[in-house]
Amino acid sequence: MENPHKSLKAKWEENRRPGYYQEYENHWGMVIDLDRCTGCGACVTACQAENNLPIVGEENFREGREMKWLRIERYWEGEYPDVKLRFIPMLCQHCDQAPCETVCPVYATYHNQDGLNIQTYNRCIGTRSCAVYCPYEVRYFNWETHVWDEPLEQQLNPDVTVREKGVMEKCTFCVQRIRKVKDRARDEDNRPLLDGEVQPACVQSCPTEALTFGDFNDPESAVSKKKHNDRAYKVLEDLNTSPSIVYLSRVEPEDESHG
Amino acid sequence: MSEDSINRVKRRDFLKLVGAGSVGVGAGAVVSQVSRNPTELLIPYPVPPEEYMPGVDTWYNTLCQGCSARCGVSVRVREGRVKKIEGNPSHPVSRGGLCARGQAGVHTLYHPDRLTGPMKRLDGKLTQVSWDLVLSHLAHEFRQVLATERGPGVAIVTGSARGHLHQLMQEFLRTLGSSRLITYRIDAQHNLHAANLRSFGARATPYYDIANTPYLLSFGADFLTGWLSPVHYSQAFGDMRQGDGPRGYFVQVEPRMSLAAANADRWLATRPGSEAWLALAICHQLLEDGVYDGPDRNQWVERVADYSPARAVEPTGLGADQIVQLAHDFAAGPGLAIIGGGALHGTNGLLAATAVNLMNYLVGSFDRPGGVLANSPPLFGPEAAYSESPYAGLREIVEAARQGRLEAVILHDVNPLYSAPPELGLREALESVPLVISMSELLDESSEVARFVLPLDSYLEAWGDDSPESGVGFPTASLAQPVARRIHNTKSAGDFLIELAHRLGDDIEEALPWRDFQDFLKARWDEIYRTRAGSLEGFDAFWTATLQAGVWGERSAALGAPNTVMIPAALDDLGHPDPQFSGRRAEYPYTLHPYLSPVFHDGRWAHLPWLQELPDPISGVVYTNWIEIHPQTAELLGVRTRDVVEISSPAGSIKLPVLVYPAIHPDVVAIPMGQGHHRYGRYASGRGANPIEIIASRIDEDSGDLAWAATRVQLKPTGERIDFVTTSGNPRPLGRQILGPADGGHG
Amino acid sequence: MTISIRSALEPAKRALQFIGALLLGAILGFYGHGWLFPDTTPVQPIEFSHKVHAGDNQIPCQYCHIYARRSTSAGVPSVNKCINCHKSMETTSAELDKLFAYWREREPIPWIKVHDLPDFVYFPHKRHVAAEVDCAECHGDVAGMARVSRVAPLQMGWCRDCHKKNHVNNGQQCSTCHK
Repeated sequence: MENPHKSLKAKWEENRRPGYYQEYENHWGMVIDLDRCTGCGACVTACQAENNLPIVGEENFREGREMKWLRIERYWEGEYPDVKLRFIPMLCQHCDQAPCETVCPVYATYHNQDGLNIQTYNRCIGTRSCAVYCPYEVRYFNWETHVWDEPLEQQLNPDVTVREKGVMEKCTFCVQRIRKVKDRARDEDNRPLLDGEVQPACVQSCPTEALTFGDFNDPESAVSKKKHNDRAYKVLEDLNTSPSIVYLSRVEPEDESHG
Repeated sequence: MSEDSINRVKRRDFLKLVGAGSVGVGAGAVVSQVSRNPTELLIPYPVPPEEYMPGVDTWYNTLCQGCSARCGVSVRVREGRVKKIEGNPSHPVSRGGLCARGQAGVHTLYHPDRLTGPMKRLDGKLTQVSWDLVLSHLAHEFRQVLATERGPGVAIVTGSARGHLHQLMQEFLRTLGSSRLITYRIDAQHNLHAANLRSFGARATPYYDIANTPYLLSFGADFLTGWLSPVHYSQAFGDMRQGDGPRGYFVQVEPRMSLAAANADRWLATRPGSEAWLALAICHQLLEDGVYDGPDRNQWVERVADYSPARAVEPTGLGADQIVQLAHDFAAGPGLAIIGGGALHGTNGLLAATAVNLMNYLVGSFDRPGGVLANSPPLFGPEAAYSESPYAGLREIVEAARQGRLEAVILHDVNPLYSAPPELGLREALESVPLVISMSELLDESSEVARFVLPLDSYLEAWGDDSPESGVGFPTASLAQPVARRIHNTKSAGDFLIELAHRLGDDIEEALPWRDFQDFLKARWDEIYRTRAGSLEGFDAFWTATLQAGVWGERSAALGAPNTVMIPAALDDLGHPDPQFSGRRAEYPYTLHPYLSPVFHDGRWAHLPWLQELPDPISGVVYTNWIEIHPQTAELLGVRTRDVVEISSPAGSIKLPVLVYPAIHPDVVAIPMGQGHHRYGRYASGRGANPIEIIASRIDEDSGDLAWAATRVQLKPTGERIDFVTTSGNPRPLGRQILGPADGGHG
Repeated sequence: MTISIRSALEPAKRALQFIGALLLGAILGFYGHGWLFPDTTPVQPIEFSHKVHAGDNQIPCQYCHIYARRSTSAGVPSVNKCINCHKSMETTSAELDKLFAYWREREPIPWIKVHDLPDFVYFPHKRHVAAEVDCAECHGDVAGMARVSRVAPLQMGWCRDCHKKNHVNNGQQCSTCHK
């Protein structure tokens, strides 16, 4: 029988190798066009609805203990009257070289075959190391077991686990939807997935179609095409985390031509 | 120790050990029992519904009721429970997208504070009674009203009835001899409709082709969250920015930066209420530049002669060169101008909206892609919206009640004691009406004056339909269907009215002969089928197909010749562009700019917990509202963010914490609407304050509509602090290159 | 004089005996309870016999568990389904009377779950039926059971062993089974 410890170490080395995902089925990723994004927050509520995010109450917000896998960050620039406000949706970047993964002592967060940064709740022991290491601050810890006022719990999505106290959680790219679409494709003669067939809740809801989701392994996919845009960049790229989310920066036209 | 004593001791010990062992067995058994997983049950349906399969989603198409845009939605239902609402991709209004409000709509069904059954006020207290009792009591009371005289003694005020529900209400009132059916929403854009009727004689809101416009000039219209059809126009915005064509340039003019202004390429802070001046000055400049050379040119020159850019400098606070430049850019675009928000709700709102129409007209933006397109009028539904101001209707009700001419008022899905200025005197008026019935989903401010409180179905439990008011460019209509079984003892408004009519009997029953509201809908849709969609095989096939798709439309339908000549008299008989305000400037130095919250809109869905927990897109604040003031004003008053100030107007005063806001005109203070409910379920009650409480009941004399942006206020620091929560971290980017690539290159 | 542990413990001897008896009892109680009242074989509201239905009468599993090949959930038959057969049969028994009582009231039967997976596990019956895994592999010889009993441990290691044996695609990935 093989030594389980050795095998664990071997897996660490294999799974945390840069470029690991490229050999696998998909490399899910997202392109967020900040020139389309209006900061309206539809994606935030869509995420909350899809992923059983709890209603935490005002006190938890005050403690900084809100649960929002996806948030809109807002930044002011300039002073009145030439003041500008910009928005950027911030969610788990599903980094290919994720700092959160290397630090987890129990291997609860790891990269799976789809290039997803997976959080395995039943494995998590709540050390919160991953949240400390995440430069994007998109990991959220369950400081308590949240309850839903009856009958709000009837809305809970049966495809997503309801997390309890002591567990870390974050955006999954709606892994349950990916699974559902793959399942359907398998039923239909094991056909390949279509581009745009998988849509996380945030992408689905976005009224301005600012978010695009797809497979970076497929050169013909919408996301693969968009990532070559001149405006493309990744947030905090110099940290070498290789995020799977590509942002397209907002266009700032030269003001001389207009008023 | 002797043998004997040892044995005795052993025996005693043995008994002790046996005792200990028994206790151990008991404890072990208990541990074994409690450490087991809790027993889970498998409870199958006695008789499963037709499309039911556990573990598999069923999707139903219906209509969102979060605002008056009525987006088509697809609802995910699993094991009979509603799980998620998404935009219906084949619906021309939402086109697959959905805003935060629409997403949160699930909780209208599962809200813990929903009314679970009808209630009657007995000795001042609301007591649960049965529907049967309610109907027989009401039938009795209505009969008494009718016995004296059939007339306008009965009124219905609705906040949401559209489509055929509106028609049914009209029908019901007509049999009682009344025509008092008032649709009241603070967000109604009556001046926009009235201006279009005035300018082009069309009883339809035109379609604003934002997606294809090269230059958009918006006067206070926050079309991304609270103007006509937010999801539809958000999509159009996305396409204007990064669609197939060249990127459109977008300028927003308003005293406070709204979400739309934050997304504009340029935001111009003008004096509040000066939009009419600015639009007229731009028209003046366009004509002077010879942009328009139609046969009616001279007549327009004459009408805007008094409003040169130079004279607009003082009222707008912009430089003359800025206004001239705006006119040049608008002509070069050629531009599309839209108007909304406070600009539409001053005392000169109708004039401003008409002037904006003239701007579009002068640059030839009518009936041109990227301009203002002709639209199909709604196939059915409330027509009065175009000719009659909802606020005028409310004022009439108050007047009639004061004179004792009102016998009964039905409030349907409306909360006017929250959403109308108290100065109107509606509370006193309703208190003097003998019979007030409130139909709502949960207890609100208005149910306090009702003798009967009737629980409404959530929109996810009820039938309905709509033909969108804001339009999509072709004739279309949608059906709303129940997607879940009723979870409480509730009724839909349609079913209730039909049942009440049946109880009343005689000609009233004959006028409303339908079994229930669904039956009525089918009868009406049969007409649409016969006149419009005869190609499908039979009405049933048509009905089923429409239910499945959620929508029926004629994309190819010709809209007839659009009226592209502006009526010459459109600008006549309208007041002066100078805005009027309640409260003298000396005493009340700041103009109050209430605005529809991007999250709560008018507050209709403020009771939904997901919306309370959705950070405001601009301030990041949750669970309350605030007053936005310019940094300069804050310095003047010696207050900081979170210091509470008392805001007083001639109509009243409220207290709110300050939010120092870097993007607001120094003369203006802004308060988001939607919060400040005294009674609206556990999540919304007692949070923040309602700016409508201090709005003067002042109207735009030209249209009769409420001018909710025409009140002045004074601020007084109270020394208190409210530690509201904001979720944004550092509000400045600090060069972290979060918003763009390191080289700053913009494509 | 020698000092031994035994003599050192002498004063505590009776206390130790006492604790020993308590522990022994507890172990006996814990396992005895599990043995006498096993939760792998719960007593159901109706004494329904799979042996009679699936065994003696050879009714195929999916005749009643109709969703197994189409859904994550195999589905328990509705009362309606039971009645459809039983209304035309002569047999009577106390258990059948219970069934007809539920039907008269249009009440569902609150069956107790025998094979209960934790809520963080995603287990689709459909995929396993499609892969032609025999029902008995996980559920045991139900056709021979008068009262259904859980025979498989339903632990993660057990799932993974089978996935490994059958070379299931991504069968060892956390995200395949955990949601």
